Amino acid sequence: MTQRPPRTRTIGPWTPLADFERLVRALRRSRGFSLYIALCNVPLFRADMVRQLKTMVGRPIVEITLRRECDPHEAVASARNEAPEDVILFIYGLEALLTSVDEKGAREVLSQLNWRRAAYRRLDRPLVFWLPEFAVPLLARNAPDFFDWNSGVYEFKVPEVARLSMLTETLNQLPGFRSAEEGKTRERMALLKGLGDEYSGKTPAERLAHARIALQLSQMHEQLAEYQAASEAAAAALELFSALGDERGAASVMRQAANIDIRVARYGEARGKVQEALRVSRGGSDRAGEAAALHQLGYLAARLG
Amino acid sequence: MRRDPNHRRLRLSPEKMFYQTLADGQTSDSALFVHHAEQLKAPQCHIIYTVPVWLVFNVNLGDAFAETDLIPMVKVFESDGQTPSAEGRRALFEVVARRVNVERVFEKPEIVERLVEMSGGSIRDLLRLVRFACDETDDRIALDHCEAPIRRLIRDYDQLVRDEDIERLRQVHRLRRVAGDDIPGRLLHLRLVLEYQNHQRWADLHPAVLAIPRVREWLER
Repeated sequence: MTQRPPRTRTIGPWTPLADFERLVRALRRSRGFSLYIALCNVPLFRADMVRQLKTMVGRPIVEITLRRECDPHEAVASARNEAPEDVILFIYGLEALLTSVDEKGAREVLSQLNWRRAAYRRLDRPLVFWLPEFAVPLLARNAPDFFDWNSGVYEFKVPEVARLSMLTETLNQLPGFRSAEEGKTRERMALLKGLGDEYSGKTPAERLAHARIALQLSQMHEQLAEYQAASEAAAAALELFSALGDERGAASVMRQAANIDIRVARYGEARGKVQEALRVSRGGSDRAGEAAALHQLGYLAARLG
Repeated sequence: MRRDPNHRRLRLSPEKMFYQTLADGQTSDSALFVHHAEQLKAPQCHIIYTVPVWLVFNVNLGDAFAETDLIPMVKVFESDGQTPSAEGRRALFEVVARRVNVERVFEKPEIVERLVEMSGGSIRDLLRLVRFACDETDDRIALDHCEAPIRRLIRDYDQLVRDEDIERLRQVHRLRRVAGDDIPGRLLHLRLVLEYQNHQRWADLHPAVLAIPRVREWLER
């Protein structure tokens, strides 16, 4: 005799966290095709939710990660064909196919989703598309027929306590990212962006988190040779640190902006930024910042002969 | 595709065509049904094409197609927007009752009535609301469980409304009709605006759209 899955409790007041229980119920009851959209910005938190869902739902769950250049329907159909009949398919990574970097490609993906929605229905299995917040309006507005078939949008916001520990953990892991391969760096970037979206920016602590995230994103974009995006993230970080009166943070952003200039051989601009960073660090008695700026100036002097 | 039991008549019912705006500003639907009507009628069999409701009003399909039947939203209010339509609500209640045992699933029939009202007469949204309500509990659905499904529907519609739509939405709400080409097809296609056809043609915003705070704020200005 199979063990009955644990009973969920009846939900009281409406809260986004209650969406976990709602999704459990929906998945337990779903038969044949149904389309669910689970909104979650942070892959770490998503992994945790999925782990719990697997225990609660009492049905096999197969996870599919869509890669760039893949045909989403083909990827889902192929996973479905190899899975047991009562499977639920969890689909990740659609957002990677919807980036603004490749607008034409994104439009194509959305258009295909829209007109091939019946093909998804023919898969005859419950599908859960896990998406970050930014991707849901894109889907709703640009693939409206597909979105219209959704049987529910479920929102998974990271609880504040977990959010802070995830951010700390992620930022602490970052020093090693420079040696990481591109895929890993992009994963980290997605995680950071997700964490950034979780912070509303209402309190100084949240704005500081935004600033730190923007700085890290700038470094990662630089690492991937995406200098325009790196500059934009650095500008955002500088604005946030300056508004918070965090001179140490602002100086580190200036040094980062100088690094980007060095990468594109704008040595004059780079020197100006490092000198400004040096002035700020000295003013704030930030000895480590001062040392970093002097090191950068030395490097620049060597490059300029 | 359906074949009748004696295999003598073939009836084609193509799935709903997807809606897309083409480079010249036309939509894929209007380009297809107006400029390629002859090809669509070419197969020697009965064909039922389904088109979005706005197309019937915005282009003259009568030129090419002998018969056009309109399936409007089921009215939950009369055209004044105030008086409940008992007939429409009864029919929508029946839609639910044919699918679920209302007495066993809901504590009170009033719960279904509330969901009916919020659906604006769209069957898809009504069934989605029922499904959302079922997500709320393992027991019978109580009146308290109505709030979350309704908020979820509002949240879904909120994803669809663009800021630049709001002025047009206000216009529909004020005039209680769709003023021809002035209203982009997408507002009807996405059911942000619902059209009714009960003796007279009239329209209003979907109740879930009316409940979106930024839309409500605009309407109250």
